[in-house]
Amino acid sequence: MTEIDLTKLQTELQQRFGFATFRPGQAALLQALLAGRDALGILPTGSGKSLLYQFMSPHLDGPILVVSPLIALMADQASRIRRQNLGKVAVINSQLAPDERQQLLRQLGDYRFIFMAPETLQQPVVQAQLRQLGLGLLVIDEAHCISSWGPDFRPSYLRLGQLRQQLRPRLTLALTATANTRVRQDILTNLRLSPETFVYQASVDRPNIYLRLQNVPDDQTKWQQTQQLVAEQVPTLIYVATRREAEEVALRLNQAQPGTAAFYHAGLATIERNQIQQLFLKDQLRVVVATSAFGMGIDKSNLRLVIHYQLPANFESYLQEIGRAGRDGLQALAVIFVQPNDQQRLSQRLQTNQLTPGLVQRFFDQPQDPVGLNPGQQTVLQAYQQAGMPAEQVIAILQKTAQLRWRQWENFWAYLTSQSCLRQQLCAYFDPDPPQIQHDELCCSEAPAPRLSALLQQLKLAQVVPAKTAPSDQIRDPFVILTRLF
Amino acid sequence: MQATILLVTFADQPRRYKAIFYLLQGKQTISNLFAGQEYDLLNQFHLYPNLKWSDYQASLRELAQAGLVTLDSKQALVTLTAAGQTAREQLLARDFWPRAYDYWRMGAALTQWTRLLLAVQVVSNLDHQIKHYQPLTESINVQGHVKRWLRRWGRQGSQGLARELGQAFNALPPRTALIIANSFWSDYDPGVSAGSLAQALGLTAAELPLAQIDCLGQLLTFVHGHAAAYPVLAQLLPVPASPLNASAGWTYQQVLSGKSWTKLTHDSRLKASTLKEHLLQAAILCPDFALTAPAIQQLLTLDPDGYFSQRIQELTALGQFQTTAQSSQQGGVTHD
Ligand SMILES: [Zn+2]
Repeated sequence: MTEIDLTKLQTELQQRFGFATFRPGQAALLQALLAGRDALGILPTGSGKSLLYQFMSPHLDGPILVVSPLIALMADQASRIRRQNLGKVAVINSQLAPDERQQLLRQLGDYRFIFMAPETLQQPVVQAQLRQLGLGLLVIDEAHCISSWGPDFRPSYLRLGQLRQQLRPRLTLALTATANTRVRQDILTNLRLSPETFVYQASVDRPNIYLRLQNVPDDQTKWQQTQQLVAEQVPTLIYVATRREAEEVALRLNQAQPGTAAFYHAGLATIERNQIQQLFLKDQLRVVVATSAFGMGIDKSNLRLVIHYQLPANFESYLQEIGRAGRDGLQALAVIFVQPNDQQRLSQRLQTNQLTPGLVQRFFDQPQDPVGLNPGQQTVLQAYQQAGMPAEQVIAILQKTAQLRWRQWENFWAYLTSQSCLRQQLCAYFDPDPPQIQHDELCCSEAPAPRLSALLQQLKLAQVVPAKTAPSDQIRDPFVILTRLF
Repeated sequence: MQATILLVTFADQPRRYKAIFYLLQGKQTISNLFAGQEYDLLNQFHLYPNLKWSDYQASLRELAQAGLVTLDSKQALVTLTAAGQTAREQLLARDFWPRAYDYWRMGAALTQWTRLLLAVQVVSNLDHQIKHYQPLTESINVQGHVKRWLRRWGRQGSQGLARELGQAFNALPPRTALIIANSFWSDYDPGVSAGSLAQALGLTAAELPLAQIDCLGQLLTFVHGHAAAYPVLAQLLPVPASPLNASAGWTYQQVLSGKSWTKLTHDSRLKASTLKEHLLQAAILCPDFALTAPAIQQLLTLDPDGYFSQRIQELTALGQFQTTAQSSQQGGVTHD
């Protein structure tokens, strides 16, 4: 195969998407795909993964199927394709009514981009339809979910390898933001990709994001410092652990300054979710308070500040979540609050979610009567069982993953309590060949030094890109609204 | 779900909490409809179509722990405590419970609400030449409905929508207009987030959607009460011709036409028990049920102690037929 001309690709990028240059990894992955090779792209959040399959669209014979684990993510990606008018999009998920779903499936041939959850893909009718269409490209998004060594293992991803062989797409592209060596191997093996598969792995380092550890003694201090951060008046995303906390934090911020913040979580209807995206994109809402799964759907290139009000589930989530900041390449800040009792709280969470051999054996003996299992654990075991694995094997896998989770957690805690360069640690943990980081005053710090106020003064986030409009998330007179809308 | 909202559906007398769950979820069986009639919750049928039994149970436990209800799990009964009754009064005073919405006359609330909001988004974007955007709902049914509506009305429809909404806002109570208008948004004007609207109204995030349904009910009643003056909105938000589904509607039509029970069972391919169920649905849901129709009278005389007669007696005891005791056969549903 001949090397695809890079200048030709760049011209196409300019013409179709209006970008002058590719982000790291994009060109290499596109060259591989255009040369007919399957590919695995390990690219940090915000590096333009979706551009890859959008770019490929006119170069393919058949439609593009994107398998994605989260409904919110699918909806957001579909929305971007629609806004840019790149082709017809179908999103098939559990929110559709049965008749709507059937209608979509019947007309699948009309669509250029098809988004689907892995669970939907397991259905024989769906598979038959897709086989008939002849897929041009199969995209496995969040591919690390296929590895039980990864922190986000999703049992529904287990069968994707077999399904891939049945569907016979002309090309396959697996994408993920985080994958250590083990997870990377799992992705290649479990998706049954050939040894010729092209792999691109970028460094996780994002030099424009200042990393800050903020140790706080109690909730009150944390709240005061959050207000101090929000007072910077820049586009801000705050991550919390639960829906209730998302609502509470947003409410308290609005009490201090009405119309500043909105909460964003799985309990919101699609209508409201889409609206908050609009408000945030148009700078009419300054702060979004999100639970971690939903924060993944927030796409705003000028986010200056990401705050972890509570600890994320693990190191990988942390990396993905801070990656939302500064996607425009300009200075941004990621602050994570750490409280003394966090260590105990998180290890307790790990402990309660752990599946003991006894529980697993009992499930395999009496799957109809799942005693002592939470719904998440039931789903995991059901998926293993449906994949035809015997109990002993599942117990062995789960014990290994449990150990791994503990090690992952220990690593993360070491990061959260460390005194050395945070950026260097991040690279050391995630990159196969970690670069040598030159720590400087725009790199990272741990509270108390420098003081938060001094740091904010130094970074001058508000001056990076001045806000275009003041927030206006406040109720108005009905007739004013009508004149404004129409 | 916000557990306290359930308080509105309970009373100081014991109620069957499973029946209330199925009512809120919208499971249409005779016994659920009876419970709805008895508890005065028939209008709120299908209020929470996605309600999960596990969430509902968790909410019940939460209320019991807070001392607001007592539970009799053996007989599956829930009763408000004195504190629960006070809490219920306070909730109702915040004026969000959707009294104005009636599922049987207006159809599924979420569908109607989404139609209205999507039409506003589409027309506003159209007015501002925004061509490529994400429709606010993924529902193909609602998208298709709004598309057909717009095609039928063309340019006139988009102007008509703004005009009719303005007129309706003038006629409706100010708070109703405020809530509906502040729920609108488009890609030109992103409006106000649900959280801010709820906060401004002194409601929680879970109460706001119910307040919106209440306002939608008021809008629908107004628009269809003046359908000739509001043709654009009336067609955008059509209401079902009858609370009965197609097959129950057919059965009831036969009865209205004066057919005897003997002839009806002979003509129909359905089992007698199914036909009786259809007629009980009509007895509960149709405001002027034709109690005196020959087929009904024949059924009552044929088996005065049977299931059908007993249910009719219960309904009579509940006062269902009071205003319609003299009702002639002209009442009931119209299919036009
Ligand atoms: Zn550093």
